[in-house]
Amino acid sequence: MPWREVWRILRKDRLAMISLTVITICAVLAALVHFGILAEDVSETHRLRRIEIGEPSAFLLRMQREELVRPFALDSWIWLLSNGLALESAEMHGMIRLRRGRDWSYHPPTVLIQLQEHGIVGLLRREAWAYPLGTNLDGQNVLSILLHGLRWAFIIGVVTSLIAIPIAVVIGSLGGYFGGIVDDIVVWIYSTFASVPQLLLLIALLTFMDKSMMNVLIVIGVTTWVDLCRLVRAEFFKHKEREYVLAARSLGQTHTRIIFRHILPNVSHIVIITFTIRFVQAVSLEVFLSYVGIGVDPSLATWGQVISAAKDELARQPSVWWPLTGATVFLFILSLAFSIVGDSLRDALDPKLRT
Amino acid sequence: MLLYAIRRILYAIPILFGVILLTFTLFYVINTPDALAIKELQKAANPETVRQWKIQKGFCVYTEEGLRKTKEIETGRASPGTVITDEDIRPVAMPVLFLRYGLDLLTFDFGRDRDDRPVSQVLLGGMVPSLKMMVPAFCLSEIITIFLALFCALYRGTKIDRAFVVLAVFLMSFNSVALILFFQKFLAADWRYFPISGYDTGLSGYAYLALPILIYVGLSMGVGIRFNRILMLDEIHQDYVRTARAKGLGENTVLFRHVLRNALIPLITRWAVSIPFLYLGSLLLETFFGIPGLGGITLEAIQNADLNTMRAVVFLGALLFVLANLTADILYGIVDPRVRVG
Repeated sequence: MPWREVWRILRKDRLAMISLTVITICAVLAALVHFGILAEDVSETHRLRRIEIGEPSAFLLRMQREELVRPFALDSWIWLLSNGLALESAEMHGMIRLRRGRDWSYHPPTVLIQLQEHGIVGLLRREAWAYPLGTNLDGQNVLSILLHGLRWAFIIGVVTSLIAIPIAVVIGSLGGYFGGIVDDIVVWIYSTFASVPQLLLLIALLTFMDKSMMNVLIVIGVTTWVDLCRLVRAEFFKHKEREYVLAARSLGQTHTRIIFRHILPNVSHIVIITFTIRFVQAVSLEVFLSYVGIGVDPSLATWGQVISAAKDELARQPSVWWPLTGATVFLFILSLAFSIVGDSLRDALDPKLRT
Repeated sequence: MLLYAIRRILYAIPILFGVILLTFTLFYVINTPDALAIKELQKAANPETVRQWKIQKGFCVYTEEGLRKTKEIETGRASPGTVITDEDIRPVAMPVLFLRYGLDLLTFDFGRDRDDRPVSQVLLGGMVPSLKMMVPAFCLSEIITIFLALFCALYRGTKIDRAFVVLAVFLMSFNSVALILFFQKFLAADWRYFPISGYDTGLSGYAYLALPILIYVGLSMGVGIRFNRILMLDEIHQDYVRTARAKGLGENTVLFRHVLRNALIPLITRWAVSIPFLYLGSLLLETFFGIPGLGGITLEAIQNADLNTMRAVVFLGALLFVLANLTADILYGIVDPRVRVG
């Protein structure tokens, strides 16, 4: 069985095991977020109201009146400010910007350290640890956003694979198994798809669609099956002449049965290896699409949205660098883990596949 | 050889047809004319303008009744209350649309863009900045990665080799959008080693292009090292290498005179296939650094829902890909006679 084989190979490779552990932890975190156990909801409705900030004292009064019960670092800062404790440091570090107009509050992950420098620790210790990665410009917990991004990343990686892999396997196996005119058609179809540069194809499809996650998933799915299809076809080509296939055929088994029950299990390692590569690819594509402005709606907390929002955040003075850094680190770790596992599997299962 | 070339050319024709069919489906079938009209007209969209748009773009024609009515209205002989409704126009048959669409593309007639400039001229203008950035970037990254790959091959199996493999995996794991943001922020905006964005004609343009080129090289290095290293390692186990060593040639001579030359064959294929991507420039780099190339034009077209420009870019990209593949196949046939048969 390929699965047992896969496990045996992976267990011997320490780096791959570490990576696999990382992926598993990420998957568990994503699942916890999905079922609402971890990370509070960060969708649009829960976004903190933008508050026009006037004089600190007046603002404090209004906050008390409106009973903003959600724990929010801003409250504490306002408290400090109105008591004349931290104005200088706060302005200096750009943790809070009190201006008349449209600015609102955010704080970087280092808030605790900076507070310690000023000897005001007791009050904010609990608050600061509630936001280990700080808050973004909307006052949302960056760690929560990134965890939601993790959940979306798994959804993107898995769902697009569920769309693309069946397309690739069915088309590729038909071409490779039957050969002749069927194969010509299959090759024609995938050559056509491969000819249009992938990003352009994505763009052309998405420009005129709603910005829903479902559309993004479908479009990424239907534009990323070509590589796998090509590999599956080539592998079926080799396998259809093997003895076990001839034996199955001489026993009078149907084509469908031979393709799916006999040959497919023998080429399934390609699917497994491809999955590790395309998972990361799909997540990166989402980032690209979000940046270009044809991805999902900005209210969804995908990493793509975090990164594309960072363009404006970085340009601010002082710049808000921590959401972008967080998303980049998360993406980096996940990509690295997947490519190490993928490489390890590929080296062991099919060294010829290396590119 | 000629026969082989002709066979390859004939093989490219159905693919080109497929590309036209695919883009036609994208732009005409999946998106209904009404949806396109609303998207393109934006605020000005109402039943009247949508109808006119459909007629103007050739999606619909007037029925005989409609034709009579328009003539009457134009000449002022219409009875009061005569208005054109949706019943006076009918959609043009799909095959006709497709034929017209295909002919337009093949004759490079892409229509006019949102600002009423000919699309083909806009794209031609965008090609220069794109190539100016991408050609040096591509060459630089290829030279560096090939050199590093040879270096890895020379020290294969040692810690140095392994370090480069790890480096390649690391580089590949960085997200390009985020990396560009960081580089632009630190190298250009904060530390001012480079201008933040802009473009200039002539050689002085490279003051602006230096950072994008640098980032391109950094981003493509991971994939490049991996690809070229495996290429070199595949060659190094060939018989001719053993023969060369047996002759007593030094490791450097073997690598540079023998291995590199033989590795050129797959490399040329890779280069040929990369041409369409050079044409596109880098969508991201061009927008980040304000380079008025094709990538920037494409993104602008996306944001403005500029249909004609997008269609042209998609088609030209695909056309170049097909042509590049064709060239690669033919070059392959010239270099390696075994390919011609079979």
